[in-house]
Amino acid sequence: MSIYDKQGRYETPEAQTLEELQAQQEALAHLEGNNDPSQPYVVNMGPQHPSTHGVFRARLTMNGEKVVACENVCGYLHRGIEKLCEDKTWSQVIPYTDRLDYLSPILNEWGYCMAVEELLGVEVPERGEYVRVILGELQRICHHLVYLASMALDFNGYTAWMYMFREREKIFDILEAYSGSRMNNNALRIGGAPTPLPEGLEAKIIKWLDEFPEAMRDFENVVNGNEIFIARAKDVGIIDAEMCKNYGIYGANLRAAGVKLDLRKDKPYSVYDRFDFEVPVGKQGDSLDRYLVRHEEMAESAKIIRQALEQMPKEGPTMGKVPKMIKVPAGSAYAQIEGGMGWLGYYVVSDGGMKPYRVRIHAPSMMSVFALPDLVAESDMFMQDFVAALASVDIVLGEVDR
Amino acid sequence: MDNLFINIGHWIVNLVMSLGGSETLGIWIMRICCAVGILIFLLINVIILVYLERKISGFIQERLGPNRCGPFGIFQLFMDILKLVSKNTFVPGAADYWIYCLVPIVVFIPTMMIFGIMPLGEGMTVYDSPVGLLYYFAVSALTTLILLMSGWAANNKYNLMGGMRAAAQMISYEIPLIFSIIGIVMMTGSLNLNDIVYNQVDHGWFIWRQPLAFIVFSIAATAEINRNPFDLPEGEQELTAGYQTEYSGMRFAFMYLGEYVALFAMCWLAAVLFLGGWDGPILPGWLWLFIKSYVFVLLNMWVRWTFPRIRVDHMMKFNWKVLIPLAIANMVVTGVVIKAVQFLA
Amino acid sequence: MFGSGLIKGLSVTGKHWFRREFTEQWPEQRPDLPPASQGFFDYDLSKCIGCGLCERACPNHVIKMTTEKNDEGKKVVTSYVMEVQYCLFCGMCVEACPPKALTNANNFEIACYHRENTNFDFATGEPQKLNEAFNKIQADYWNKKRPEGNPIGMPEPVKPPRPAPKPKPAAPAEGAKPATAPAKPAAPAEAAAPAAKAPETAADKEGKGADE
Repeated sequence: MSIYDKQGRYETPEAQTLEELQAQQEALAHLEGNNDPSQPYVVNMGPQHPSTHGVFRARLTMNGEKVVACENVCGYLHRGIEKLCEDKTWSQVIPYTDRLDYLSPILNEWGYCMAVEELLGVEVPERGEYVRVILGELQRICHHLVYLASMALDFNGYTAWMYMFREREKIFDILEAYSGSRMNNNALRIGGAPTPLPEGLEAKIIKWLDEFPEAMRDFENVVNGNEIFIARAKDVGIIDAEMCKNYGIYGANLRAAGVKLDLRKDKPYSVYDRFDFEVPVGKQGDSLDRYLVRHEEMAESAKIIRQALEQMPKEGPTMGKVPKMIKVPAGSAYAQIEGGMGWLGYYVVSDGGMKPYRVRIHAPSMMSVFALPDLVAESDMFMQDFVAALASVDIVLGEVDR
Repeated sequence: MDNLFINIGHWIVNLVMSLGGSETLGIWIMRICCAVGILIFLLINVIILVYLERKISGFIQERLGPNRCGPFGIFQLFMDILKLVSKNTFVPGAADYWIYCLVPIVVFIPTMMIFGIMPLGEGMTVYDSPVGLLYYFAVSALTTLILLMSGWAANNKYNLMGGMRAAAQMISYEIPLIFSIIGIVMMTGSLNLNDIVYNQVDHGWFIWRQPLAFIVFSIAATAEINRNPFDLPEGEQELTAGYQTEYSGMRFAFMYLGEYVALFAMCWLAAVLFLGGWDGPILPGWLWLFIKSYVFVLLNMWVRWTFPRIRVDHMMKFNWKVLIPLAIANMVVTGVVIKAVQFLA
Repeated sequence: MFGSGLIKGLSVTGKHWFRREFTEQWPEQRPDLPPASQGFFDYDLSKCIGCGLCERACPNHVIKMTTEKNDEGKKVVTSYVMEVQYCLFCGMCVEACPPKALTNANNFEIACYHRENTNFDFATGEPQKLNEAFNKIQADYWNKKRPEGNPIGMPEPVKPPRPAPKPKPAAPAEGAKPATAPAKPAAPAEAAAPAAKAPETAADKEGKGADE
């Protein structure tokens, strides 16, 4: 019998026998509540799903509408970046680090460049640092815009998503004028930034900065103030400071839990100690807090960009003294930056050659993904709450799976 | 102009009689022609509605909607239907075959049956029933069963969750829907839709006289037809397509169009009940009714593209704890005021 | 439970309903590309010295170049194939090119239907024609919209002058200097620049000679 027999029906290859079904039910029986006549079932929020942020699979065990347990299956976007890095020269690794957190590529490159510069002993000139700060903060705004947009989209607010992506388009124009690409721009180099900001780009950035607060007010009115959104995000998926400590979650998720810890303020790298900005902190670490913390962080990033444009020296090199073919002395270095999602760390090991011996990437969103089963087990979640919590812990599969 | 369609109807009856038939035969043939005409009218309207939805969503999101197929993209839906027709329609192996195939066919039927008693203008009702309003709610409740069938038949957990949610939501929200109308029925004294319109023509539109009922009705109606912010059965971000997940090709097209026919029917009812039906100064009555129903359609689409979706337990709580008390309060106040007015007069 | 937040949201979407759209309708409206925008590549066969630095700089081994020595013993590029399907568009090759023979082109309309057509041989000059056609369309469109010139009001990037040839021992120096100046058939500015640089290096040499 062919696989398509009469009228287009096809036989499933594994027909379940009654015994198998009963065995499955017995396995799930321990999850039934007391006197609860309903049976738990397993739903695959599969790699293809409109609201897992990328190809991420969560095997949810559900009881009615409530999610009882969750099992993560990652690895669908694994591209072997760490292995690929071992075959490329030191500068050639930079386009690969772009593709980790593909929403904010320049921040990834920055971390890697910092680690290699530490090994090389190269000092980045001041102008280069300022260019890095401006580009990095623009990318942080890009990242947060996608985060906010995806969270609104997961709540079925299509319009908010469109508005935020419109802002992203404007930032892309700025980045295209500098580096040539809108996304995955290979914009930084080991030793600094390749060129200073072209003439006219500063005016463009300032024009965009002037229009940004109005756009943020629009976002507030459409999403933040919306009672339906607040009702769905409040008290959902609470990750408190204790849980953050246990899982190693830093960044905006930790700040939403009430701990004021920002790498740019507490261990300032680059020229961040020269800027005056605040660190927004949440109250209890639920989804609404995580959303609002990132919303405020966008305004702070805009402040930083303005100050950096004013303070940037008008002359001077942007690249440190780095040979064309980089040969890094043997040793290892670890550099951390405040990425869009948390503390992005690069551990770079060199054996004295032209290619890295090992590049190990510490991805912050991977820790958030590991926290999900615990999150589900602790609180009483509907499936919609699970979607909201997944959206709010900000995972980007490029980073989780590398 | 006002009596255009009535004159056409009379002409058909006269034609039949002149060809040798009796008057009852003429009237029956006229009714059948009316029914066919209404079906065609509905389908054309659905096409317009789908196009309007996409264009309006585009304008709200600062983009143009479809604008390539035909001038201003008016042939987009035809191209989409052609695409859907060309898809491979299969039935999943373990699905309940007969119900799976039956659902897309019957999903249209309740909402089309409704237009049998709806006034399309002054004196233009296919069958002017003395219990028109009751018939409306009785028939539209059948849609619940059809969504449940669709949820069960496809042997897919997402479908099942969507179907269950549809059952819970639609059954719950029928109650405030009907209770909010009771005030109007009390003030009119009749369930006949034409009587309700005549009452509005005499005493003023019900949107001014029953504002609370209007608010409750519009929220409950949005929930009844599964539109955002209440489109939980078709929750695209949680259950990939809810009760429509396993349906593809023309089967999906029918269910999609059925949603828009339900939207149109509900907006038409709202126009008849609250905005005065065919009442209006210059234009013919049926054109006014058409415009008024489209006002509600546009309002519904505006709300759809702004708000996020409500959570399941919030939906139930909102219904049972907020809407039903409000609707009952409205009924009570209306009754008291009617009696008070009668007592004083 | 519901109140002002919902109405504010409705007012924002209502406001945006009647605003002009933000999207651009390609191909009737062309995008406003900055000069640095990289869609594709432009290759100048006359400038290329066949050093192979671009080949080595590419992370994905996209560029495959073959050279041969011509009668005078100079390296001549016979084929320069880029397998653009593997290209990351990172720009490392453009950055690595010493004579700036490989540059960014704004042309992003290079999609095709078959995989074989993604291998472009720049030595034949065919892909450069695609760039020229694209630039012409862009120029036609933007000259009409902005007759005063440059698209986004940013000045043209200043092409760095061709680096002066390294000072060689005395006898070939006089032979080399006149040889470099006529070897540039293109921009007269660049011919002037090495010619301007050559007396400077001669002056430097004399200065150094005086110091020593």
